[in-house]
Amino acid sequence: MISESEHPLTGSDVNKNLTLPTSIEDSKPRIEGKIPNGKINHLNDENGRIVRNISTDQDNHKMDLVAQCTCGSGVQHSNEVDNDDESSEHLLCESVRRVHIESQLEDDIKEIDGISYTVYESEKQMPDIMRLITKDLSEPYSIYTYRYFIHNWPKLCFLAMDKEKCVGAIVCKLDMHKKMVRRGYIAMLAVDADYRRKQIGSRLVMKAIKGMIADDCDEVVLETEITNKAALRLYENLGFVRDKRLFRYYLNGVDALRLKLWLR
Amino acid sequence: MEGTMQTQPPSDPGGQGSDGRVDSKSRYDWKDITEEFMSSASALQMGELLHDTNFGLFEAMSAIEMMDPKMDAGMMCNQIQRKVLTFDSALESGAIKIKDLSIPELIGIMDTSLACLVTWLEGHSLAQTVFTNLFLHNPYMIDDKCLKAFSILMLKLVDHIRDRVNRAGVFEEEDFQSLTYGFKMAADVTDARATGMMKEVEDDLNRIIKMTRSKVGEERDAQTEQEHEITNALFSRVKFFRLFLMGLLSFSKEKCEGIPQAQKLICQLLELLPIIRDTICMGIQPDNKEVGKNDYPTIMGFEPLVNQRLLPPTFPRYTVIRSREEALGHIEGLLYRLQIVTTVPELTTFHIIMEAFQEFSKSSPCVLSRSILQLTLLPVNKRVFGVHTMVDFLKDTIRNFIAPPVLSQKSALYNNSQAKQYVDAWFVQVVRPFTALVQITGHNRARQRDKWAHILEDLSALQEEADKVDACLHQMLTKMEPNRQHIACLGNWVLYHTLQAMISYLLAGFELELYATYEYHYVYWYLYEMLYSWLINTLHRADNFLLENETMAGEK
Repeated sequence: MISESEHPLTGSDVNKNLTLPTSIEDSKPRIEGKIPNGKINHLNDENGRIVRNISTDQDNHKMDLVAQCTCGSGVQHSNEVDNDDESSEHLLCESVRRVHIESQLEDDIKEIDGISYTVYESEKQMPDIMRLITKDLSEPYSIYTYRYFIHNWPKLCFLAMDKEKCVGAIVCKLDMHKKMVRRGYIAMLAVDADYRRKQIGSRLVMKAIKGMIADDCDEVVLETEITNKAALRLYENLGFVRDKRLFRYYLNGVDALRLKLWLR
Repeated sequence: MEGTMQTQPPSDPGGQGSDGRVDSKSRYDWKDITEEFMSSASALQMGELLHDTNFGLFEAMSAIEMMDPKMDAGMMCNQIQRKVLTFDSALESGAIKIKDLSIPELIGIMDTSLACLVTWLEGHSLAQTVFTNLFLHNPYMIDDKCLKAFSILMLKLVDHIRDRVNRAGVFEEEDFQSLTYGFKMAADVTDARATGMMKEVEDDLNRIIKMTRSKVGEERDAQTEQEHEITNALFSRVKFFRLFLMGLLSFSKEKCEGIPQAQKLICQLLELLPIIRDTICMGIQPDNKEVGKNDYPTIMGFEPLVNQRLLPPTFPRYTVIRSREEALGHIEGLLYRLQIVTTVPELTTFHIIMEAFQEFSKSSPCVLSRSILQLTLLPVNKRVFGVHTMVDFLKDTIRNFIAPPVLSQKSALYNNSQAKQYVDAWFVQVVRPFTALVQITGHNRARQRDKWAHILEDLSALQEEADKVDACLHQMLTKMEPNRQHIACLGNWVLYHTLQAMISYLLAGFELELYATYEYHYVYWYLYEMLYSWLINTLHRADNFLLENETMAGEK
């Protein structure tokens, strides 16, 4: 009565047997050479630290990748080929590539529009970071919270400076999640009120994500208040997706959304 | 903390004396090491941190800076001008009275207590809600008959609610906090005695009401009329609280025997609500003082900060007590939801129950009604409505759905001992995930979605087992009754529920605002092209099977 082909599969089996919607079929990436295949191989530097990501496989899995992509299927996937052959970014999921400030993802952002972006260097910068973040965030943190993140993951803490003045900061970490997945976490992000809507926040997030990618990160998560429309816009523009809703998450009773960016 | 508690937990540990007086029984020998400490610290590099091996950066995150009002919850007590009262100190100073309370005072206390109860049910701690009522700290000392009965009843009510919600287990930390901080809950007073005490007060008040009632041919003076109205307001409240506890207790009677009584009581409670609502103004009201964080104006007997020292000294939570009107609104909603719960024992199959429970959940009901709903279906003895075993109940449901021969008395397979073995072994596996399916509907809407995702694993394992059993049974059946089949009967039923879970998961994403607009069409597509069409397939297969069965039975 029931033939095998009719019997539906559950869970992850389902994806492989589906016919993909025609719009994705039509917009196959026409890149020759370095086609994303979802597998990222690493090149280690002299110290064994992961420096660059290279790929050698011609893609047979690109359709899988595209199918699992979180972009809308109506999007024309990009034909752009990187001039920088060894750049790790073009091997990532399409949705991460398709960002408004794509070009800056390729260059290392050092200074733009008069704002310079630097990585954390010393305890001297701690008061600035704390001052900036305490002003904006609804939950209070002690200095030890800042130290936990920044001392353990100094390379994931970035500051945006207008000459000598710190006008933006981001604090992150990168850890194993449930022993299976390397998960980056954006703990805090704040930009001085007078410097908003200048892409400073987005650029800080980009720098942080680049840092995480360089360290073999699989996904990035964060929580933000459901009422924080500016933050939701910022992250969703970068390809983050709403993963979970958390009722009454914050001390003030506001719900939170867990946002997630899949990198692999 | 439990072992050393008296009726009232100490809110004055070590003395709040700021006069620096040294306790004569002091066993400490304090030494000022500030200078040594500072000079040693100066030897550290910038950013260097000295710490114990067991207390690193991760542990330090839970640290608070003492005396920082944003972080140190205890600082609130030291910041306010007035002294925080305890039951004893309030009694001493005359801030509260335990006898000769006026009716407006009693009404105010009862209404405020209800508001605190509702605030607790919305997810706040008892310490900052119900137990801000000083009278509950030492109810046995109260002389006033009405206040004493009410305070004891309040404690029993809280205790019962805690018990029910804990047992149902369909809450998370954002829904409910059950910690009692060592408070005594009048455990030595039985429910019967507690409601009995309230009944006595009711009877006394009723006498006065009768006396002051307007009689034919007689003119009441304004004072008598006033007395009548206000006594009636108090009477309605006493009766309300008594019936409320009785109503909740009747839900927990075995085998749903208390359901008819619960229905009657809920009707009576709903009738009392309008009177209570209209007479809120008759109770004493708080002064219009300034509202600070966790220090809001209130009436005699209530001290917002009395339990502050019982709370963990972490970041303070600001608990807003509901207004009296809002509290009544919440209670009204609760009563309507409980009315719905009383109709549950009439439901027959698992499928119908799942539908009803999911429908119930859509209105985001409170944790108490959700818990009582769960416990009505599956009380502590784990039997459906306290009567049927889960296995029997599910067997009935599957019979209804697809009439598998192995469960049908007319089939030769039914009495085959090996077939029975296979099937019974499988059913043992079925109980856990299917109990979980029901419990998922009892959680709050956000948590449900994660749980739908997790249960898919269990269901797919169950499906595999079902397919194996079906295959065995099919082989056996075709030997005995060549015309009958047993292909995928059990498997089809599990698939039906798996699909329902997947659909619920996807639909929940819309409600919880988790999809970006560009994602909508793939969700719609997947539902339309895959899930709903598979769901219809499973139903058709089941229908066809039932039809075949009937035909076969007819032919025999």
